[in-house]
Amino acid sequence: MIYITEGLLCAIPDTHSWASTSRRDKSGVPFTGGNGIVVLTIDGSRVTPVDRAREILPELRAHAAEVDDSAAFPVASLAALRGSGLLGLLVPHAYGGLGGDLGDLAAVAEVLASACLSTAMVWAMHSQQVDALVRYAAEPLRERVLPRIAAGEVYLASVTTEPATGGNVMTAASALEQSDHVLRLDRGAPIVTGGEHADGFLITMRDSAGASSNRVTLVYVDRNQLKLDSSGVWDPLGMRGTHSIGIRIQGDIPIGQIVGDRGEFRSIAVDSMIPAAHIGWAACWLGAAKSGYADVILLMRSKNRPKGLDPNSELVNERLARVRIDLELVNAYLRRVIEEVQAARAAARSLDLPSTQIHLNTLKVAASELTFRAVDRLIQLVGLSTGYLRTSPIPLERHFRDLRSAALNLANDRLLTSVGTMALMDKAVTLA
Amino acid sequence: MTDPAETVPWPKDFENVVAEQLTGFTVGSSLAGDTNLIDLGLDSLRMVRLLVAIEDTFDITLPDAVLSLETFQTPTSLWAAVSAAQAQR
Repeated sequence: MIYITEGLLCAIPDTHSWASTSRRDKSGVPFTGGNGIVVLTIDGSRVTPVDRAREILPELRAHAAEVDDSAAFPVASLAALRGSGLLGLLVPHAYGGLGGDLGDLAAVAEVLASACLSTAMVWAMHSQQVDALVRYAAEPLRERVLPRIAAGEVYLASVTTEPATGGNVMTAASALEQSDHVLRLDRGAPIVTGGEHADGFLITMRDSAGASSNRVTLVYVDRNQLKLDSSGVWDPLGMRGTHSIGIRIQGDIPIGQIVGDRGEFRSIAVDSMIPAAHIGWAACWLGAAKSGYADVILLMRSKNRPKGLDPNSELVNERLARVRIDLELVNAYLRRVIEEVQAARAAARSLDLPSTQIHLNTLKVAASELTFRAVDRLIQLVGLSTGYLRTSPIPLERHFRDLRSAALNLANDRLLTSVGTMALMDKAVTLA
Repeated sequence: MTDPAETVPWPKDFENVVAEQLTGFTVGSSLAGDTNLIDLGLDSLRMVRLLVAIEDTFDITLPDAVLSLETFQTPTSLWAAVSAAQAQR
């Protein structure tokens, strides 16, 4: 699929949900994160995952334009993420991670995307791989990999598509070859985000040469277990920092590196990777569009505002309102879907229900369309010199190019077919 | 695929609508009762299409309670659900 601790004393669970993000409690401390992870540092201050994200924003912001310009992988921003502990956001405390949930994933993704959408997407896709490992990897693989992720040593990339199977991640053509307890991998991957920089990979393979193409097995592979040959040139319209390239993967791994049950990748995809992906991406896109909106509001409130941006103009008011409403809708639906997924997870219920699948796919389609429309409208609102020029102090044209990919990254066409088909299975019309 | 001598309890119509949704089904072969339909490419979207085709063909409504992966696993399990719905009619 395109794309993909320091000095701490103790963790204090708090009861506030992600819905309270950005509100403040009576003591004036902002709440952030799904299960309200607040960590006390040695000096007694409280650090949330969102605080960690905000702390590295200057680094991300400093490289965003250069990463976009050169279509290079955001190495410096990833280094900041490694040092922040956020690669281990979803890793449980017992393995040295921050013990976050999908609410935290969304909250952090939104903040990171306000500075650099490419970096935020790279991190969100890493985190969706982590979610799959946390939920499906068995010991001793967990003990071997999760602490290294938490320590920032392992950035994970995903290899779930193949030239032969296109965008359908539920099928695989290349088969695992097994001899004794060793599995041999040899497959192509048309587009792997961060493939040249990842320290570990989650890779889907057909379970064996005799298995049907929908018996897909997920394996974890360290970079040093693989021979990687990259190919192709990455020079896209937007999301240029995600540096997604074609690679050929060959290597031998022990059988203990299978994640989940053999041939049962579908359940990992349905219960972990897809919900984490759609929630993470939607939060990233919302973060970028919201940051563009915030920049325009600041401009309108300044004395330097362009003449056309008259706060007393009803046309300007209406255009501003339309964008705000799009952002409100994406934000509310994102939170609602997170609640639905979290509730299912808390009750150990599968997400493999027509209505839940519809909601998850609706989130992806709606967020991709509405956030892109929001930025398109912002460009119309602020006009050519502020909205369209690469030299503008507000990076609206970058957001526009980046967000154009949202409907293509896991094509909306495919998801709409799914929503429309699954709708026939939900006679009660169970809306989110 | 199956022993041609094997007798199956379902009409040809049933086999036709099932086979139509299988990407891994070879035209001209026939379905054994224990064939794993999922392995022949029956994914969740094709299950819905198969459900609609079966309800049309046999003029039945399959109750929500039987709409599970297990029901769609093999021709035998699916035909059992269809027969039960026909008996209810």
